[in-house]
Parts: sequence; structure tokens; C-alpha cells
Amino acid sequence: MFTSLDVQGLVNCLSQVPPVELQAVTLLRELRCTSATGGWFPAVQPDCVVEATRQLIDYIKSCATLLDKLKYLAPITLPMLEIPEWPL
Amino acid sequence: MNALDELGALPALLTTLMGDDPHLLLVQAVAWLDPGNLTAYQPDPRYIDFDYDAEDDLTVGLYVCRECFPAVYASVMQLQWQGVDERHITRCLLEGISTQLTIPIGSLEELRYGPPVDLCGVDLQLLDPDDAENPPFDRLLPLFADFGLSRGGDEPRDVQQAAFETAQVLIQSLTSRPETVYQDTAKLLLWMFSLSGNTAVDYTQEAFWENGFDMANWTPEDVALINDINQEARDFITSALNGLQILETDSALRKAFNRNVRTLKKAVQKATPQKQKRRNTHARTYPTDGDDGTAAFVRYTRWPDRP
Repeated sequence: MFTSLDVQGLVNCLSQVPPVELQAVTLLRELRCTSATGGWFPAVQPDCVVEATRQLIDYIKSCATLLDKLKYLAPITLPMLEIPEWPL
Repeated sequence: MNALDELGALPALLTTLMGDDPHLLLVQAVAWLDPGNLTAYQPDPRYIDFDYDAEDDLTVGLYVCRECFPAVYASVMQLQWQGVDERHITRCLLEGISTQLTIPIGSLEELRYGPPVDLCGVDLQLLDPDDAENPPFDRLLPLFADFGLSRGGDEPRDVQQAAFETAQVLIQSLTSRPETVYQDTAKLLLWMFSLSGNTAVDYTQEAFWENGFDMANWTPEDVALINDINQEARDFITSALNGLQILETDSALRKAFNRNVRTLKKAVQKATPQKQKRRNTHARTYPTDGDDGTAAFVRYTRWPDRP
């Protein structure tokens, strides 16, 4: 049963989450534009672009959903925390 | 190196520099594949949903593609980066979206009303033999006449009720027959009397709006559902029109149909006062046949053998 989590515990927990490998980012990293191609973005096969776009949109949507959930997190009671001013 | 050469080399230099920073790389990926996310197509935070009325047609089209048809969205985004003009973009959106729908759209403006439903219900008040846009509908009038109904649907309520109950018995009788011809004829009656259970088959445009139904939303789930409804309706109407054509060409079957309608109408009308009496809340007995006794009348029907 979950009892408590301090800041360091949260940091340790989050740092163990592997980074998301987005196909779009991989493509940009691997096919960096050179002055020969002259463009801002690499030339990629259409089906590859479609897949990368689909993945990126899903990623953005899941981030937005997570952000919404974080906005409405229920308050957590901290029984160990002492507030001397409380009786005042 | 002159100023123009330096300017030409700028994209390569900047992309190289951005490539070293994961945050900038992500921003670059978004700018490349989902630039709308950085500017438009974002729902107003004051509203939960995207405001279709507040945006122009192109923005609505891009938003719909982003939500439901990512492949179309991706290809249109790349066209925008290539500097293709708005007219061509609009055409690509229209063609791309239409290929994903059972009922294609005619203009981006139609997207504001949700995934299109081809409502092709029959309403006697709207049947007009002179309406060139609805050629099959005037062919239904002779069949409605068998049931005592005519264009306009002005008959008294008891006549309409008897016709409806007669149709129900006929449908029950026809669906029990395995032959395709009778299955098609049953579908014809289900279409004529709005009994199919498919919204697109049972409702006219006017009836749909008058009932205050909400249109489906542009979500992948709703689009799949509407496509299924439209496809089912299309198959249903095709079968119904086959049934209509058979009734128009097969005189023996047409006679049997007419005879069955007359027989059942008499039986239904005869049974109606008894049924009303049984429905009287002060009466001591209550109906026991759950489906208004239609099953009991099926035995009166006679159909010729057909392959």
C-alpha cells in the first residue's frame, strides 16, 4: 500500500521513465538538413511522414490530457506537517 | 560569401544548432509535421470543444483531419510547406476526407455539421411525383395506395394506424421467408414505414432536425459509426429498390402482395375495437399477446413460391 512519497523519491521515480522516442525527432536527428538540400526539414518518404505525424499528434494529445489531469489533482493531506500558525 | 549565400545557408546552420537541443528538436518536429498546433486549431480554453462556427472553412478542415484523418492532415501539411495555394489545399482536403467517408462531402462548409449522414427516409407528406430529385419515391405511391394511404398522408388516424399494423404483419410474414425476393420486399416495407431501426433509412432530413437529434462529432469513433450507418443504409435501400422493381415487374407477386394487404387490413380493422376494449384500464382482462397480436395474423398471408 502506498503511504508516502517525498520530493527525492518523486525525482528518482520520474528519472527512471525512459524518454519517448518520437519518429519525427529521430528523422530530424538522422537526416539533418545540409546546405545541399537547402530546406528546413528533411526529404522523407510520404508514408514515413504520415506515421511520424500520427505519432506526434498522439503524443501531443496525451501530453494535453495529462496536463488536464494534473490541473485537477485532488489535494493531498500531510498529517506529518506541522503548522504552528494553525490555531491562530 | 555574399549576403544571399549566407541567407541560403541559414536553414542548415539553424537546424544543425537546434539538433543539439532536445527541446528545440521537438519544437522543430512540431513545426514540420503539426504546425497548426503552434498557432490555430487549438480549442478556445473557454470552451470544451472546438468552435466550428468561429473558424474559417480551411481551419475547420485541418482540425477535422488532425482529429480523424492524420494521413490526410500529414499530406496537406507538407503541401503547405511547399507553398501550394489555398485552392489546391482545399481540394486536397475535400478529396482526402471524402475517401475516408461512405458519403463524400461537397464542400468544407459541410464539416461544421458533423460527419454526413445520408438521410433517405420516406415521408408521405413530402412525396412528390414531380420531384425530379427523388425518382424512386413516386414509385412508392401505388404501394402506399394498397394500404389506403396517399400522397400528403391526410388520411384519418385510424386508417394510418391500420396501415401501419398491416405493414408490420406483412414484414413479419416476409422476413420468415428465406427467398431473396421476399427479404428485399420486407426491406422495402421497412423503408416505407420507417421501421428499419437505421436512422439514415428511417428519417428524412426534416424529421431528423425536427426531432432535435444531435449530429455526430468529428471523432474517429463517431466517424466509424456514421460510416457503418451509411453503408448499412445504402445496402438496405439497394435491397428495398430491388424489392420495388420485382413488385413492379412480377405481376403474380404484385397480386399476392395486394391480396395479402387487403386480407390483413380487414383482419386488423376487425381486431382493433377488441384491442381497444382490452386496452381499457377499467376492463378486467388485459392483453396477453405482447406484440399487439401481429404474430396471430401472419397465418393469413399467402405468397407464391419464388426461387
